[in-house]
Amino acid sequence: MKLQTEMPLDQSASNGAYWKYTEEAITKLRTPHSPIDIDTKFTEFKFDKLSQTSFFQHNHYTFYGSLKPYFPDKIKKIINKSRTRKLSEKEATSLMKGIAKLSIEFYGLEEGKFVAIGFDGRIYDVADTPLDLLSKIQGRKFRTQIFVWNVGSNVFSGWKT
Amino acid sequence: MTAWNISHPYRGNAAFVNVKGAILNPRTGNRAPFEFECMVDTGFFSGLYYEESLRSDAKIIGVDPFPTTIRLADGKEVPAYSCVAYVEEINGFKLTPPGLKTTLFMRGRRMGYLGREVLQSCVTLFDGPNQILKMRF
Repeated sequence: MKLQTEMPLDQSASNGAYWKYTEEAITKLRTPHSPIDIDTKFTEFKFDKLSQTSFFQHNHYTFYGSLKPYFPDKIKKIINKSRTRKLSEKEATSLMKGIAKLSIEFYGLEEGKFVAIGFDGRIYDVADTPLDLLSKIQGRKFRTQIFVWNVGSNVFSGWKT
Repeated sequence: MTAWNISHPYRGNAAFVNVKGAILNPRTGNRAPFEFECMVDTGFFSGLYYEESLRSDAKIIGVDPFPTTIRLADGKEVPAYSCVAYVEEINGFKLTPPGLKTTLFMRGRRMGYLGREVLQSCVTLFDGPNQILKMRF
């Protein structure tokens, strides 16, 4: 029996789907060989839809197992090249730019922040100035190679023309 | 009138200073000292800029400089390595320990540059007619 089609579904609840088992349904569900054992006192099942924002915020800036952006083939190609030979300056710059752009869009970072991004696309640390960021991450061990970036710019520092 | 801590003649038409400092591993306390001559450049937004050879010195003490991109004076965007370093002495003048904390960029085999991040900690006088650089901390 498909509960979704046969149960009355009350969609007026603001939190999401709201399922209610009727007495008839409970009788049908509870058979001698049924693995389901429903407590008749608790007949209402309510679940909140996990909004993308809440899940995203929970995993924001965590180190392991967090969401990360998907890399297009162009970036994957350069990463594969880097495993066999040294990248040229142009390739290294375009790789960092590409990963930074995807990570910044994915995590929704604000302009002006300085971030430490892994070559896996995850953000590992954030600070307001380049010196603060480098002070935080210097000497630390990371699971992947890290590069540093200025959100909203193509360069971290230098002679800004 | 307050005396100047550093007074050094120009070389060519530019001001050069000798910088002594160290890269520090904050977790172990190990230091990788360095010393090089660099041009005082108010157009350089960071602290120090020098050769990539410093990177191997940093790795010995467990500091792995981070790759990034910087913009050169001609507008070209190039990769470089960055880490935190301490400027301890400029032209023989010793700064208050542990020194001035600043960002250090490493790239290729290049002349050193000393930029705004260090200059904002002192008063600097570029005396063009007399070809002298003066600094007061």
